[in-house]
Amino acid sequence: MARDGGSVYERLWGPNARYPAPGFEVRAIARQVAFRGKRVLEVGAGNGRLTFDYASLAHSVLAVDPEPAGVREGNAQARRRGLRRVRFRVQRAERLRGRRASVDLALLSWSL
Amino acid sequence: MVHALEAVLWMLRRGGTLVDIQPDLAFQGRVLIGERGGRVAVGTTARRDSGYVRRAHAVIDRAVQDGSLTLVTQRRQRYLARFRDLAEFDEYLRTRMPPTRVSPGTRPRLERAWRTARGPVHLERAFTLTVLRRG
Repeated sequence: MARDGGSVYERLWGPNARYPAPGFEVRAIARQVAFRGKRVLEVGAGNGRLTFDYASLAHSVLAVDPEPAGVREGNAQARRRGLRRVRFRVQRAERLRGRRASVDLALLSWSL
Repeated sequence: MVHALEAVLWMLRRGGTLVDIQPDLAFQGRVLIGERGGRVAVGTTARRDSGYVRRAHAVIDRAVQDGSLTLVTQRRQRYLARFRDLAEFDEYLRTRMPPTRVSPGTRPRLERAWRTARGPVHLERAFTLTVLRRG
C-alpha cells in the first residue's frame, strides 16, 4: 500500500468536501480566461456554487439552470450580496433565447 | 445537446470564449484512508463510461471541425472528495452519474483498512476544463 501525505490537498480542500473546494474550479478557469469586465452566460449554474466566485469581477452574469429551487437561492444570494448585474433564470440550455452576440464568455458548468 | 450548444453560440460574440467543464471519466483516482495524520492508498476507482459525456465531447468536437469554435486549451484538474465513513462513501459512488465503481480488490482492502483506521475516506477525482474561442 502506497503512503500519501497529501499536504497540497489539505491546504486546498475543506474538511468534509465532496466536491472541489470552494473557488477551485473558478481559479482553474481564471488561469486561462479573465472574468473582469466580461458579460458572462453560465449554463447549469445551480444555486451559484461557481457564480459567486467570479460575479463581482464580471460586467454582468446571466446564470441559467432548469431547477427552480437553485435559481431562487441564487437570486436571493445575489440580492443579499448586492450584485445587481447577476440574474438567475430557470431555463434549459436548448431553450435559451437571448440577444445575438450579447455574451463575451460562456461557461458550461458540468451541463452540456 | 446540439441545440444547447447552438443556443449558447448564438449568444456568444465572435472572438468570445467558451469554457466547458466535464467529469473526466478516464481518470482512475485512488481511494485512500486517513490514518495517523497521513493517508494510505487502498486501491483505485474503475474507469467509467457515459454516453452522455461522450456525446457532449462529440458535440464540441463537431463545432471545432466545422470552424464554429477553435480549441485554445484542454486541461485535467484533479481534486479530492472526502467522506466521514464508508456509508457516506458508498452513497456518493451510488449517486454519481454515471455510478462509480471501485477496481477489483479495492473493496476488501478498503473495509479492512477502515476497520483499523476508522478515519475518513478520500477519493481522487478529476474534471476536464476545455477553453474554446468562437470563430
